[in-house]
Amino acid sequence: MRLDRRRLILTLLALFVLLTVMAMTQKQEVKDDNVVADFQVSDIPADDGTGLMLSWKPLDRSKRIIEYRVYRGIKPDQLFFLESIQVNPKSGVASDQMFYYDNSVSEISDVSFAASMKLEKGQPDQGILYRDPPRDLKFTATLLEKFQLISLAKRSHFYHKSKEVLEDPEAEEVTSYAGLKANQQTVLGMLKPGETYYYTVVAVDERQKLHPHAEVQSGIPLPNAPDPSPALYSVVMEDTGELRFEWEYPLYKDALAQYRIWQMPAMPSETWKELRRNPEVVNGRGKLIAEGRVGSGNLENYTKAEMQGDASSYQNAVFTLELIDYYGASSLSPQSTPRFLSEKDLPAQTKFWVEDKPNDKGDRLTVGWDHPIVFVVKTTSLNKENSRLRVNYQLNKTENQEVNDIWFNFTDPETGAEIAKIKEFYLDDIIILKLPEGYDFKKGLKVQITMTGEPKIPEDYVIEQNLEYDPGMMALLPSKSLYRNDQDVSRIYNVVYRKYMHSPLWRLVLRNTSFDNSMDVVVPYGSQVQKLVQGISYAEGDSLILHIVGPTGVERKARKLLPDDRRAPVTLMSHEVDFVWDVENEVLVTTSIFDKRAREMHAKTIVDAEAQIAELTARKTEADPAELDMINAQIARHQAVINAYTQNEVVQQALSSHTNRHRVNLVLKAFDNFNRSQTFKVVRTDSKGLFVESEPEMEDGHLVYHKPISNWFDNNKYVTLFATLLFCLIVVVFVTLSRRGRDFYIRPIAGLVEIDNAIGRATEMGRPMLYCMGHGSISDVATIASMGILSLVAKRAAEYDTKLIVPCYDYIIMPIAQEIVREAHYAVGRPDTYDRNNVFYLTNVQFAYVAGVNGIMIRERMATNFFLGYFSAEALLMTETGNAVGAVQIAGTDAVTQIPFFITTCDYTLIGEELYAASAYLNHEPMLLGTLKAQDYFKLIILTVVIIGAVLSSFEITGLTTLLPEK
Amino acid sequence: MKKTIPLLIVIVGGLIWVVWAFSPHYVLQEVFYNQFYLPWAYASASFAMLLGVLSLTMMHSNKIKMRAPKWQYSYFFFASFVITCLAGFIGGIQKGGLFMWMFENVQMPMSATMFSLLAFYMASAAYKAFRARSPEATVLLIAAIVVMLAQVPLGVKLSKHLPTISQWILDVPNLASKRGIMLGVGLGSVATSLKILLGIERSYLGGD
Repeated sequence: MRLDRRRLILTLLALFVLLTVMAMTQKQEVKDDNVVADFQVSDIPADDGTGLMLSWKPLDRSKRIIEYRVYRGIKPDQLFFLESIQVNPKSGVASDQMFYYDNSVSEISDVSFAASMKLEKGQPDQGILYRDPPRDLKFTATLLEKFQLISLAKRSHFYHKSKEVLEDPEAEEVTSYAGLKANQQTVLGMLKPGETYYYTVVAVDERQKLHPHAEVQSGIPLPNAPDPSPALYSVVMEDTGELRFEWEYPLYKDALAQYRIWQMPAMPSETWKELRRNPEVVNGRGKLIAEGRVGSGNLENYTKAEMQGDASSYQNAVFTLELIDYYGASSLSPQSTPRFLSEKDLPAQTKFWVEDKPNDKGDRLTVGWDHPIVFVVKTTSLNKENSRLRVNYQLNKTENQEVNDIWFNFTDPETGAEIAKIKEFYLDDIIILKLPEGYDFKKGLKVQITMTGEPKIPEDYVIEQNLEYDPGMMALLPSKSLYRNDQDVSRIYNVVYRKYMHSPLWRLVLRNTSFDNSMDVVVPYGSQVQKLVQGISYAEGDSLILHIVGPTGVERKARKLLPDDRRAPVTLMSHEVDFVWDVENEVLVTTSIFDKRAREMHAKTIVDAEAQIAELTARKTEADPAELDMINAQIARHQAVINAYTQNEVVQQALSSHTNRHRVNLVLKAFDNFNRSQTFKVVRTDSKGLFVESEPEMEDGHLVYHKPISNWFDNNKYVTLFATLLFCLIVVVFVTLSRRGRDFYIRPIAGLVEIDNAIGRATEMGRPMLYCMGHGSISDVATIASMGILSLVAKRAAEYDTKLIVPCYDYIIMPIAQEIVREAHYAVGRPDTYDRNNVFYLTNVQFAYVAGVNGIMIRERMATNFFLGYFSAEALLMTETGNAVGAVQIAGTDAVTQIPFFITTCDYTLIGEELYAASAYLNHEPMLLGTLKAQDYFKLIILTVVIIGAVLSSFEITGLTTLLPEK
Repeated sequence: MKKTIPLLIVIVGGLIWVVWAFSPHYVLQEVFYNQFYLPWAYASASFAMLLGVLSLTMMHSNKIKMRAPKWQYSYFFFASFVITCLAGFIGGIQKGGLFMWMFENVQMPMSATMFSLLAFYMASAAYKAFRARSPEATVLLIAAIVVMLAQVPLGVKLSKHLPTISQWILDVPNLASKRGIMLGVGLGSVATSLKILLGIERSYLGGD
């Protein structure tokens, strides 16, 4: 067949179509390859119904994915960016599945978000993916139904900038809210149980390209029964007639509200399994032993109960723990068979103390319960024979405890023979142990540690450890046991709980091992306010629209806009705040951030309490004795409220405030005072039901509350302060002497002497000079010292009419350098020769600066170069170039690593402090010379202290060494 | 007055920092430093940068106007400045954009090139430094040879004591002199700070 032109065209056309189809198919394949597969949304099991779990299959690592972005919305066609999960593009994701849990608060509106909706990068006009939700409360109002919104605002914003919004100003009892604008807060949102949410995931590659999103999936979070407790431990105390229980919490514990401990009758395992599946029927089957609050797993995880009958009746007893969540659903722990023990098996009660953390800003307390603890961390062999070991130890103590000396007594674990006794008088966490010749190091060692210190440490306080040979590490490592006065305490924990003034509950702070003797408790300053959003309001025409969250959903209301109303959209929150804890009456006084409402609240609380007392008093006549006691208690409670509101000094002070700002400030101060006060207890436990609570700290029958103190002076800096003052004094003395005419000898500094000659050379050659201040910032002393020299060089240059070029590395330094050079020209009467373009900003990129300076040096053929200031790697690159163009170079820096390069390549170099002395040396001003001399004498003092310190340390006297600050 | 007010600002500002260094109090560490100083420092630094950009623009436009030597290169400044700004403002500075591409493929290789030149410059500087012109230079030469040899396998082959000697040189004479310089630098910087604080050192203000 002849291939004529027509056929050729047809063949080519067919080929083109084929190739196009192939290319499109391939592209389609590639496109599909980049979509996240197996994307699913499901409810998180065992949670409180506020969480959804997202899962998907990550893309192959060849796609070079750097992140997966999760989008969420309440409609399938409008999803907003929620969070990004970063992955390593090189290694990819090792697992087959990736998970994301949407079960905590996320930002719904923030000041950093755009005010309007913005489509995500690369999305078409009809795209469904958007960046962050808009910072528009009108839009946020549409989410009220679907999310539980929380406002997070700075305290000053909430207390001082909130504006009052009234739901219906004409109502008999007005409902008032505190309103905050979008830019005054961050609105956070949590999923609501039973609502539908839509999600998708997008992979983003290394080029920041967003691949097509996965198919949108929906999910509904539902409250589920909580996970059961992994373990309940029970102990029957035979001699005290007590039952003790301790338990562990499951992973998801946020929704846990209550616990109940049941004694179960003997039953077949199938029945027990059936019962665990339907825990609600336990009530009819078991005997309730104890119950209490759990507070999302933050409260005590132990309890005691009186035995019913004697210990033998519990021989076949089994117990179970029922955990109940806020929705009433519950779960049962595995059955626990009790241990039969007596009081002597209990760990010793902890005697703890609370101290303010010294030298801090007042946000930490230290809870201590033991003498300092020292233990060996590891050992390292220092020679082939393993006869020299470096032993690393750790000392745990509070800041107020002092340890002077530690003795390490190493013995043979087999024979008990002493091997070495080392006194550690300088505590650097390392000791060197020499083993006797022929000692088989694989036998291990036993170490006994004793110490002296303040407060006095008893002589019989001994810590013991066994160092055992670890074949894997080929070293002696401490075993898990830690003996304190012959008792293994490695499995004993000290659990710290705290209690606030206004709450009866003890909350867990931290569980500590016996390797710690104290812990720091952070007591932060209140800086933010968190409030539930109860609605959103905004003006529309002459109406005020209010979206109010009610028990049945969100209600939209409209009323006439009043002159005082805020037109801008605001979130509506409760205006009520905690005010003061009345210690005497044990009443928490609350108030409002608005003056009028505060007075109304105050009056109403008193009126309500009086009405209650009147009603209860009327009931007293018909009450039986048991009921009478209850009524009397209730009357006393109401009376306490009245007393607190009418007699508390701070409350009365606030009521008499002339301005609301003053009153609110009083409220904040009083609130901080009680909210930052807390009392502690330490529970010593083996985690298996053997626990002992510490005695509470009491004074005059009341619990002692601690509040951290903000310190005005850092006690570690007394020596620094003294040295500074001494130096100031020496400076003053020498400046005075210098002013009186005393002539001080200053050794000649060649680099400074030659400055004039270098400038003269440039003048004679008719070529410019370069002055480089290095890459230090304005806060570097070297830069400031360099500025002083620049002033003198610029004066000479102006006098001789020599061009001086100053390329600046820092844009903050540039205007200062310009001012210095300008002043110099004015000072010598040559303002006309000043050209501000000769002092300019070059760049703040290190090597770009080098390129720039080198270029200037070569183009302008510099006669003289000054490199004075702080330099790094760029120093040699510049000075070698200067050397090549034949310039005279004077350099000076305090950067120790660059001094050798300057010495090698420059004609004169100012080493270290000579740079600082330059200004004084060149000016010959008495005041400056005085400081130079003072510096020399102070160096002499330092040298003396160094020598004395070295000699004293050699005699094991470390007082001077420890007195001096380490940094 | 022109000098007094800036001097007063320096002295008062300096004293505040002295108190700040000694006091951990909440008012100084949190209210003054975190809530007042840092936001203001960030805010004012960006204005200073504007000054720097203006200065650079003025210098290059003058160069073009005056037809100064190599004035043509100033066009490159304006071109790269405008392109980088547009790339950053329009496309963003994230990875994958033109801005980051230029940073990674233009600026970083050029910086690396400059940095790599350092090796040759170092060799040249070492040659100058290690010429045995005087007894001191000879000591320097010997010390350098020992330290350098100890870093390579050949040195260990020559003598097993070489690494120990090298380490001793680094740990004892080298460290002692370094600490001497650092002590002087530390004290000098305290003295300079004090001179500034007391208004003795004023040369940074220009003039005297």
